[in-house]
Amino acid sequence: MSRHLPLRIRTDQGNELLPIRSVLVGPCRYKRISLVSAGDLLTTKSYDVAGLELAESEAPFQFT
Amino acid sequence: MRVAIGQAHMAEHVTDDEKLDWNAFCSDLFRQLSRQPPQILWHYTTGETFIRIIESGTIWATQIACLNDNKEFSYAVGLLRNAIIGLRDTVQDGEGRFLCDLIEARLAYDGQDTSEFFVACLSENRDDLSQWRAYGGGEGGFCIGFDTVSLARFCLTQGLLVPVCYDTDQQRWLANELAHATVQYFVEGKRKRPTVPRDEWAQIFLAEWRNIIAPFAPILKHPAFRAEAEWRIVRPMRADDMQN
Repeated sequence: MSRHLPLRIRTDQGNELLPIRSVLVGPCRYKRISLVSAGDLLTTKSYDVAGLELAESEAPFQFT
Repeated sequence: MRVAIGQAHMAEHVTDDEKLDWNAFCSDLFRQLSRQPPQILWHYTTGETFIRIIESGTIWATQIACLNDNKEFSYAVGLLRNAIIGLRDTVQDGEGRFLCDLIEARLAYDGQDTSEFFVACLSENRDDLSQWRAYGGGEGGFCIGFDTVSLARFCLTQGLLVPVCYDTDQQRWLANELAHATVQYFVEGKRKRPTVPRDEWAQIFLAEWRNIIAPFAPILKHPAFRAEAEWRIVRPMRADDMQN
């Protein structure tokens, strides 16, 4: 039996996009690269990147 | 109700009026536990899952037995069991005491691995280091901020959007309310069915009542998790989900 269910939550714009208002890149060695990559992915999937917050976490990355 | 048709009998069942009454009671409890959500709720996840979410246009709800804290369903069941035990000694009605004993025995097994409930986890907290550590995969995690108006609209037809309750006083209050209602509705139902054996009514009652109160279990968590300020989309599995 599957232990996960997909939830198709949509905006009221009538498109197939999730109602995302912000994306934060978490602590990592190369936040800026991850940020650009996330923006590219969102653009590819037709999200209006200019209309949402795309930012880096302020938490520093720590090697463990 | 039991209806004789010639020699045959229609099976005993919970009536629509009873279901309406019980659901109204539980809806009122949910209203008392809920509050206005913030404008954005945050979902922490790994880089790999972030890509999967964006590419598929879906977020994933997890069956309650598969959550990181695999004891949390047991936690809620334990609260109800304790409330039932506490109530049993005060119940004057023999039918009510019978039900308390039955439920106490049944709740010794929590049933989480067969629960039909799936949850998607969100937080009020933006950029929270403890949640990056817990859910971000160590490095390269993402946190997605979702518009709660859209989440709430989705939940009007698909499930519940509710804050997790960490307050032990509120949890005990809820468990006691549910325990009292359990006995009350069972006893009322039995009085309406004087010819139905108590054991039979108990099976019928509990099968229906369990489904009605089960959504409370995923929203009760140990107070040690309070800092996560979690909200959940609680979603029962439905027949059409089998196609996914």
